Amino acid sequence: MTAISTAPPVPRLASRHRLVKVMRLHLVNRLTYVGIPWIITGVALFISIVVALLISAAVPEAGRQDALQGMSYSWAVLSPLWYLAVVGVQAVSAVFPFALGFSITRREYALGTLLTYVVIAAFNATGWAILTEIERAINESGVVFHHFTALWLGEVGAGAVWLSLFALQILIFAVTSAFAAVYARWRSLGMLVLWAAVALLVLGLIAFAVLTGTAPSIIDWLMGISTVSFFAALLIPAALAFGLGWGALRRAPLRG
Amino acid sequence: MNSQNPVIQVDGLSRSYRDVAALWDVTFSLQPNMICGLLGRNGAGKTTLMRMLTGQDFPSAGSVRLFGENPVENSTVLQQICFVSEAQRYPDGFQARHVLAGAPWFFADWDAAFADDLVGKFRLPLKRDVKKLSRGQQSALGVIVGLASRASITIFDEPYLGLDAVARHTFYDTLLADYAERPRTILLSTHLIDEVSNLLEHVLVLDEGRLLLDQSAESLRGSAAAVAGRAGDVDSFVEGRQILHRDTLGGLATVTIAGRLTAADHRAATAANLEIAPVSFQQLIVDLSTRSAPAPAVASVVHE
Repeated sequence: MTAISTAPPVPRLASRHRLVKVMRLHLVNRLTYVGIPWIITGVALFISIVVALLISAAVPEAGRQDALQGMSYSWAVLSPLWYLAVVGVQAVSAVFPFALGFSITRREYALGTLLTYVVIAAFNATGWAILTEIERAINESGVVFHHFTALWLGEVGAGAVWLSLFALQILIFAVTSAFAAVYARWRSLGMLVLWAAVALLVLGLIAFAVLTGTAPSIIDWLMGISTVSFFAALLIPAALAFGLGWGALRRAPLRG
Repeated sequence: MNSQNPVIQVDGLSRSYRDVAALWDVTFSLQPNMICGLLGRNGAGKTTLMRMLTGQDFPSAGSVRLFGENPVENSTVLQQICFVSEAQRYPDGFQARHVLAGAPWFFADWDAAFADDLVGKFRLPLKRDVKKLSRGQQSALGVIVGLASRASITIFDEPYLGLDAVARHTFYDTLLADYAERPRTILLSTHLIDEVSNLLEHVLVLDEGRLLLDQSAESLRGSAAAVAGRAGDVDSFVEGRQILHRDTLGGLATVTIAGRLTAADHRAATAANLEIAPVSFQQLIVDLSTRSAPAPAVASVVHE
């Protein structure tokens, strides 16, 4: 028994149907994927509003607009994304063994999980993009307030906002799940090798840029990339991470 | 044995972790529609075997066939299996109701009314985080999933952990009643051998990764006897027989011997003032798995 058996062929429709079922299993407890990210969004927005009120109260009329403008450097809008890293790890460390207990194949689990990630990332990105547009409209009416329209999100169109938030979520899901999958397969030794490989890769890229004298032109090139291209390109490492995760999971034994 | 195709066919199955052989050259087959006990001491390889039967772990050598097919990544086969593991992990925030809501999506024959009924019988709290349930309540959840799945092959790995006596008997009674109505193949690993001995139709015994015994419960029941009486009388009676176990207390001895006793044996025993008693399943398994003699010799004797 060397290769993973794919016979007998499951009818395509039934197989696709099972991927949807895996997604439903991920979402059976809606708090994890939908509830908590939006609670974090709500709390972060509330804090931004309080900060804005404090600025308004503390800063004299003359400098108030400028001070409030400073909120556009706030990272608060990205706060729900960090929680998604936890979701990505748990999808593998807890949902994967549970799914196998429900007689789901590894392939069905992996594809169903990918489907879940895409649907959830699209859902969240749509919600946040709508809120960004609302906030932009509020700003245009003369009230200066930046929570959603912070960082690059305040400077690009609705489509680019959506794409960037979507791509960031997919990247976070894929990378954290890949790490959890490597751990499931090879435990701490796998973690050690993976982190060392990531460090060497980063080091190698920097060394290449510095030693060949191409660093300035690379930085120029990076700065010149449009927001849309940059975030669309993030889907490439996300796909690589997903491939790594699948490679680890397809032969990962379940341990008690 | 009937002549149907086996539902489970295991050939030369081995699994080693680095230098430790968890399972060594295990071969057996199970006919459909029977309750089979998988017995053995801790670390005998029971869970390893079950994980390979369900495609959760991968053999180092040998093969597993369920319904004639390799279960690994085989959706068609896996959909007919339910494996209830005592070490089942649940995602954070999952409650029993989430588990029971998801089960029918994956088990085609899931009986929701039966599951509800069992939730009541086992008094399982539905709206509490599974990780906060007691060990017994978690076991009850597994038992409910296993029974209500009505899967063609249902595998229970020590399903009774933490269950109180009442709950354990609820499990045994319900299993038997439901099995009578809807026969299917049930593989059950357990340490509580005497409790399930009336349930089992077939017995597999693993010891240190090897298959020690593969026998119908019926033939196993009559395959040994305990002879008790004065030590000297007992010893002369058992001379030349396969001795599985020997206990002495003062001048009295109790010896467990393998093989069926004939009517003549019984008359001889009565004449020698010896008492002959049946050996409990549990005692027999203990005797078999604590023997220092090489395993194959024991198995062959008991098979006769």
